[in-house]
Amino acid sequence: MTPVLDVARRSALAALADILVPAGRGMPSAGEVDLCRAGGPVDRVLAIRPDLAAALPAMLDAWTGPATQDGVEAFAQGRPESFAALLETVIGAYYLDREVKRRLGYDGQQALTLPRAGIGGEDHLEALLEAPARWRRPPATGGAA
Amino acid sequence: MNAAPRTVPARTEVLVIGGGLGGAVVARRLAEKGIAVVCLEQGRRFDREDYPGRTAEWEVAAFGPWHPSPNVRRSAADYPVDDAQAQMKPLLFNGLGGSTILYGGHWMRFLPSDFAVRSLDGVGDDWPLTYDELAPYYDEADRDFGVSGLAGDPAYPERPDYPLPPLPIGAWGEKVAAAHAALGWHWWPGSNAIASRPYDGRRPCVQRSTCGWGCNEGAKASVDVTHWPKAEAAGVQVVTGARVSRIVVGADGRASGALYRVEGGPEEMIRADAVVLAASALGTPRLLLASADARHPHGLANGSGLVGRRLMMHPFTRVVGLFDEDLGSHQGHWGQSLYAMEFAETDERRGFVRGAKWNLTPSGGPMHAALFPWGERRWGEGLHAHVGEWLGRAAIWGISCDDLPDPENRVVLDEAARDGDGNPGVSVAYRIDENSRRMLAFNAARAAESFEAAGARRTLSLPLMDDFGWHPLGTCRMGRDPDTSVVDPFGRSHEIENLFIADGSTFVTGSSVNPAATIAALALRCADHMAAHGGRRPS
Repeated sequence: MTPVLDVARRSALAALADILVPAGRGMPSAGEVDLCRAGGPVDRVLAIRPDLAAALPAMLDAWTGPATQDGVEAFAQGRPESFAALLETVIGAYYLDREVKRRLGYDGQQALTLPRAGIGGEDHLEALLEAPARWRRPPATGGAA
Repeated sequence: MNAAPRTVPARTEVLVIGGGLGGAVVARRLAEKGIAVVCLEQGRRFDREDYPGRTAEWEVAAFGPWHPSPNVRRSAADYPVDDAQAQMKPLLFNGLGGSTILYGGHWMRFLPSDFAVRSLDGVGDDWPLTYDELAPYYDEADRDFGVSGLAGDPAYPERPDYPLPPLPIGAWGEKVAAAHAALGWHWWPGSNAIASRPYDGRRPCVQRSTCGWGCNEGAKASVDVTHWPKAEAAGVQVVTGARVSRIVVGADGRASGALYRVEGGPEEMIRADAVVLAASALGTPRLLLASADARHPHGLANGSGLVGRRLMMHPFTRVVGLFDEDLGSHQGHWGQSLYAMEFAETDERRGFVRGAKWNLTPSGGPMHAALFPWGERRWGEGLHAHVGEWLGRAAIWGISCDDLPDPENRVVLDEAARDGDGNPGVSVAYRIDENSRRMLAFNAARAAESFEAAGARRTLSLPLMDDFGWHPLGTCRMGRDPDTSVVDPFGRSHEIENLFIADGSTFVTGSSVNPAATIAALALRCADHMAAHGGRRPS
């Protein structure tokens, strides 16, 4: 499969990704995990999102603003649909990265075994079971329409 | 291009158009009574392995090819839906199983008052049937779908036990339950069409929380799991990739069948003694309007002029409670952990009539946390703090407001936009009225109080989540009077006696609750009526 992003576009995207996902609160920046590396998380996103794969090259080619927070802000305001595609690509890729998941303490969605007894909240449920009915009984018209 | 398979008969007793919830229930029921049924479904079959929930990329897929909006998903099976004039955007799914592939399985009966809105509250219209009339069908649907839940809810009349015990309410549910006990507010363990124990060949839920993108376990009762295998075993012939362009009405004024293409092949005609439309509240009026002919210039079954009108979608928002401790809420069924009907019935002191149903759900994964449309900037320095305080620590109240019919909220054909076979798409107009806006605001404020009482450090909400028109309903309403309704109380067209509708189109009002159980119950009732009377209206 031909990569959607050539070297120049990959570099442009990496610069923007670092603005969108800076380091902080113990989490790495997009650049620190090399999000846009060939065969990396961005490519995994684009492989299953042909809509983003179609939108992203044109968006990157049309990018004229500085890769700064203000530049990205202006782009987000001026071209919200293109920005949404950019944001989904970068955010989606970021949370696929193994190191990001490790630091976040997120191991993906796991298959769990249901508890065999109890659903929680039983103490409070008992009072409700004793509560009077609260539903309204309609007039016995059988419906008029 | 493939021609229609030779196995598709040229004639059948009953033709069902649409392989979603209503179509599956009708087809299975009729086939089990020995009636020959063919179902034409424009989407494809899915295998549980197709669903993205078990993959690392599940959230990326959820925002794209598995999105519930056809305008985001843009599958070849979808038809164009112009929702630019809709203040809520309709969601639906085309494929064998229909929207049950993606639904959360929230399984709720209408309240008795939902059937008598005009009589009780002076708004909307009464249904031409009562809760008591529908109750036996609700009971049966509960068994067919293998619903998990707990009987005894004081918000409802007495009912039999659910076939399966309820799913756990989760650590977040326990906090909310305690809060509601302190507030004196209603709550109840969620009733879900999700198996809590092995049931009828289905595995129990594994709490992966990806129900909204297809259930990999087959624990969720989507009708491709619960109904189509049994229907096909009973003889129903299902043709997928089969797009119907029009229903044909003969010189005798009866539906004679439908024209369709299979995957772009040549146009074929299938003849039937009776036709059941079950194509959703968008797709069903679309076909009726597209089937206009010289004797029905405004579309089939449309003497009342109501085909496509009175669209309802449940004005919806969410309130998120963010807690300090890790609740593990990125897991759990989705699905409702619990629900609350505290504000579901009318109290005019609140400044509006009717009410809302609340359902509590888990938080989703990190991408959902990051991208959820909260009006806050979701990138840059704030990203990590936002995701960190959300992931596993959030619980979400979904606020689903009763929707009352407005004839100007409607679905019309969009001749300018065509599906892959050249059939017109639809254009949707939908406005949220002042009563609904007040209802949303009141309930969102109370839901924030619920979370605050539960110990949330802060809450987030929006006035309206317009991208979540989960439940399109009402575009071919039922009633007794042909001048003011499209179908009779059994779903039979007033004008074409062998044409039936068995989906949410027939709803008279919206209720505040999720519609799947009521669609299923009405479809069973429709099928029993068809089996008893066939394509002839009983005298």
